[in-house]
Amino acid sequence: MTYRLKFPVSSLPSLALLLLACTQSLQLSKDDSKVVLAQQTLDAPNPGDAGPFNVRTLYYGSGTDKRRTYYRDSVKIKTKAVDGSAFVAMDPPEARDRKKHWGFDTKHFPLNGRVWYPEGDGPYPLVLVVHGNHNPDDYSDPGYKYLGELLASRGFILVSVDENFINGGLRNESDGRAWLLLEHLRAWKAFTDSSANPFHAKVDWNNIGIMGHSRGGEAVGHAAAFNRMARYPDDANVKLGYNFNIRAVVAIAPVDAQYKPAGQFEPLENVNYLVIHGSHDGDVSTFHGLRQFNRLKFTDGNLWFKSAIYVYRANHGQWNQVWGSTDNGPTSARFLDLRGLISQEEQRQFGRVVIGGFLEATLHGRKEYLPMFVDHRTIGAWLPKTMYLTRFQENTFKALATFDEDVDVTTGSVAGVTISGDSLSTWKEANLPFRWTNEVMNTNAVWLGWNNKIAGDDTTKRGKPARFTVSISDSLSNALALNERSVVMLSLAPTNDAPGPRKSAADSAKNDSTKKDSAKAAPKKAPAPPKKKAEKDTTPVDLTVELEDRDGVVARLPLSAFGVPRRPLDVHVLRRAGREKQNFRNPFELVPQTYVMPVADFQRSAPQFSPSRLRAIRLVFDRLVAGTVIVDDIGVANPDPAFLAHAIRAVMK
Amino acid sequence: MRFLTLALLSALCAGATELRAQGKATAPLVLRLPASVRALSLGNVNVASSNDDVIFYNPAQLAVARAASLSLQRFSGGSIAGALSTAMAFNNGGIGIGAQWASFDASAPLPFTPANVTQQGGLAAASASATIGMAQVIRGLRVGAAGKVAEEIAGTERSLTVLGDVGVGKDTRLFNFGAAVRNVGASYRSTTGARIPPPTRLTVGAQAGRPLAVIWPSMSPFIDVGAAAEVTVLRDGWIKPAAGLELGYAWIEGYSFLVRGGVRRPELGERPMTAGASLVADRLRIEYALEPREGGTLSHRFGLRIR
Repeated sequence: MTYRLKFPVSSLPSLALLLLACTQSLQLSKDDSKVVLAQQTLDAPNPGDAGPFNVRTLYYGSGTDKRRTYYRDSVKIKTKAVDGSAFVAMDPPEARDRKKHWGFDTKHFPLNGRVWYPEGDGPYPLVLVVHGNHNPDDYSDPGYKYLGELLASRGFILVSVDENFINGGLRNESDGRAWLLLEHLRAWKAFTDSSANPFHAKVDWNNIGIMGHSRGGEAVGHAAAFNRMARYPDDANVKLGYNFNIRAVVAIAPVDAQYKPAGQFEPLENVNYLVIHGSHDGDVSTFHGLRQFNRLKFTDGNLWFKSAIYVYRANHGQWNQVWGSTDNGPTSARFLDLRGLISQEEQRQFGRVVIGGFLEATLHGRKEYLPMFVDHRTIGAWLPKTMYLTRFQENTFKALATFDEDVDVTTGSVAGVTISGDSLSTWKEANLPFRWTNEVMNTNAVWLGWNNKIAGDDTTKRGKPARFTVSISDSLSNALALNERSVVMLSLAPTNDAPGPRKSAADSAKNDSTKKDSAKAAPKKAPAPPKKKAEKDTTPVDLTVELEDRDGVVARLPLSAFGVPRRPLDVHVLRRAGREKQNFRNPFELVPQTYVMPVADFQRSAPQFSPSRLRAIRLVFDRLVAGTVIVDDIGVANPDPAFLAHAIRAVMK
Repeated sequence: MRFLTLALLSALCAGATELRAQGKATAPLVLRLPASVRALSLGNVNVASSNDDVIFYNPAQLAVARAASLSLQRFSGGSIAGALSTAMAFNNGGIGIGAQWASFDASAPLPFTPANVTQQGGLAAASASATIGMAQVIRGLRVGAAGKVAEEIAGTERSLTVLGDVGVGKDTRLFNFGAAVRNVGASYRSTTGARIPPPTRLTVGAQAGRPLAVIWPSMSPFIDVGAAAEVTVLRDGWIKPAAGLELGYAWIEGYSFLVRGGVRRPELGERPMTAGASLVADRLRIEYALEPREGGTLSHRFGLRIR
């Protein structure tokens, strides 16, 4: 018997259309890296290149691991298991399964680590790196080999800490991840104190660094805080009291606040901090680490700095050699648009350069690497060719307007500061939103929208450029004690919105929004032009920054002289059309770029300008007819000169 | 995996030998016919499934089934069978309702056999049932029960009976297991006075499905594989192994195309091999199954499922 099946060939095009219809096209912002990264003013050796030390490796561990022989049979140094039951909770079936799988329970967590270390006597800074959540059987700790080899060759001891046994479906275990890191440090103290140990006296205990990826990135924040606490906030019967000299904290694509000590966001202070995040992160798809960045305060007068770098087209996993490009597991290609990613090697090269430079600057005291965190354009030749948005702050920063202190838009963050706006279409303060729906950065910023075009038939008619002024009282100006080595700083993110044309009658020149009588001064109201829906504009955003002293001398430079003000970078991580809208608030992340503007550059443009008599910092929206920007953290600083040693000199355009 | 492999092999062997020991009359007929397109294409294996039409195979799995579906099967000679079902969450589990029917021209009076649906006769006949089921999860074990009313019509003769199913289900990391006893109840009496027992059967089975890349990371991330197998013991002790394989191509989240094949030890009227395909477009699933029947005829079953 024969069965005949007819397949209608004519239906093939329809089928192909169906296959393609639900896939969206690749959407990326136009790359400007050839221009932005065209320079290399920092002339130190590339911190992403291998250093002079021969690299050796070994494993240490508790020897109880059922799964991995290298943590059972190959350990060179035996560690005692630790009781993590106060930090990591699981229900009885889960606990049973895990004990059966790994060979130990929460009361007997092993201290396992793989070490890359330089050959020599030391002492060397000790850096721990801890992975985040991932398939527990796809062991994550080998994934930082590229950092281990680099850092050890440059005179650091790098330990990749094994926390695979708390990976998988656990929740609220980030404090446990942090505590385990500190327990590793305690074990290392014992190593270096023991004369029989291969690491005896080889660790520089004044320079300790901790790094974490994903949940590990959250954990390093908790670890830095726990390190200085006497007792565990959620159970004071558990003693902490580590007090290691942790000077450097690196968070790689971290989550934030999955654990909140005592129900609060983890406070963080007085450490050097670096957070990096990829725009195309398919797991932590928002720059959550900015919250940790914002919470970090410098209070003790020592030299500290913090830096946040948003890497366009980088993902979550490529900073780990095991995780790779599949942020959503082995079937990621069904969910995530992987076409836009930079290569794994490029992403890791970025990690080598930036993490290497950060640890050199903070743990080896190599100040020549500080400028790369002030302005990434100084290392254009070292960075993979993609786009970056950076935040920066150091310990001398004095905030004038952070927009967090109250709900009065005319007051600044310190006494003596008043804020005014002129001819602004939008002037409001609000919490900065994350790309993730319902999540905010927990920091306010100001939205400034303008349209210098006057409504009417004459399309060439322009009003006085809109402006936003932060005025400083004489006494405050004196207290700030600015000089030619000082800098003015602000963080700014252009948006895609542009308000409609300005009303012709309510012109500008006299329309200072802060003046109560401005309404009286206006002639009879003309009928309001219909409100236009904001349209996406692709023209480059720029504005003029003016510094005015008490004598009325004004020094001005374009903002673009200090960095590129980019419109939001398009981010589409999901493959299926429409999913992006369903899952995220915006198809972009609002990352305000920090502009560090040396006063000396302004003085060059107006030699009579006197920084010590600064009266006002003004943003003049005269370089683009209409637009909206978000501004945060306006302030001044007197940074260590090393930060500005290789600054790209700003010139009037 | 060993269970699935063994069941698959035994089903293949049994299918190849085409033993037909199962010949004792049971009724109603509709409860011996396939009730699910996917199941049919997998050799009518469905005891561990989580689709809504599992109400006809194992009520315990209603605890995880969430969908509604309709399917129709056309046999040679114009006979038609169909099934309609829906399942939803309820308390710590789920509830479902379903209906099955078959209409055909019988060549002989009651009791019918599955062969009747492909044999043209002069007697207008129908067989139908309505089922309601519920499942709850008790200490990690799914437990379910279903009650059904079934009626057989042959010309002017009508017989009604009430039957019940019970089942259990359990998932492990790799497999979904299910077991059910179906069609338990009193024999019904035909108008001629004959007592005809219901098609009571005990089925134990398992299924598993994974993206291929989860099993072998080097493989394509777009391919899914699945397997299902079960062993059924009929009322008269006749043992029927069956198994099926499923291969899917999911080119983007929510969309996939699947092909299936099944093998079983055939009952009367059946052939050992079945096959099918399915197109999944987000919440909608279009299903097709091909069932060669005894006598060299082909029967086609189409279905729609909305999740």
